[in-house]
Amino acid sequence: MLVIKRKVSESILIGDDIEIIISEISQDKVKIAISAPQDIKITRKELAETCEFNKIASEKINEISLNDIKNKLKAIKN
Amino acid sequence: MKIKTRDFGEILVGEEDIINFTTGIYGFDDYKKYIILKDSPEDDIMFLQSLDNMELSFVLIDPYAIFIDYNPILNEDDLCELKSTGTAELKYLVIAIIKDDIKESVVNLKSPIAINPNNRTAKQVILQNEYPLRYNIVSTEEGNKC
Repeated sequence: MLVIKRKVSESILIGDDIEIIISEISQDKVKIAISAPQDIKITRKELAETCEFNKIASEKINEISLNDIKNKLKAIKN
Repeated sequence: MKIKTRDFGEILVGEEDIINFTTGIYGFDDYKKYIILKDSPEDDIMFLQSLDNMELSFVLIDPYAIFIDYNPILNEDDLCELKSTGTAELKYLVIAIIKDDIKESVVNLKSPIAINPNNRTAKQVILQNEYPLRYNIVSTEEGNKC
């Protein structure tokens, strides 16, 4: 993986038409501005992972497994 | 009203039981109306059944049953969307993936369903907290890293 140090207002170019600009840095957050063509999909990683998670979670489940979990949760409680 | 469910056949629900999502669950954006189904009121495990699509249902778990110190921090936009004044009045439920092997069953602590009980509005929110997206329901030998 390529690692580059940048300061506020400096930017990185990816290919010919994607620019990532460091716009603000605070204690534990960085604000970035992205300039890219319309057809490039930009998503926060955790959002994409949540989508993926939800797809699997929507699959029909086995009743025995569900009862197993139910009993475990009850056991934790007691 | 009578509704069709994926796992429990036809059941009767009240208009007041319906939960309206402001933004659909991620990946299922078109479906906004859901109902929560429970076997018994004490259960920590329940179903989120879609009213717009009978085949769509999720297993939800009360996060406090498995992670006592759960303390979600929402951003201002999410609170505004839920018409909520603060995180304390909201109820949280997490989506589960239930596998045949109980040790592989996980919940998403990073993106819970936040429900405002006052107006029955809900949203799947991505928390500011650094919670794991896949947290084992039953602790494995190495334990959950959180």
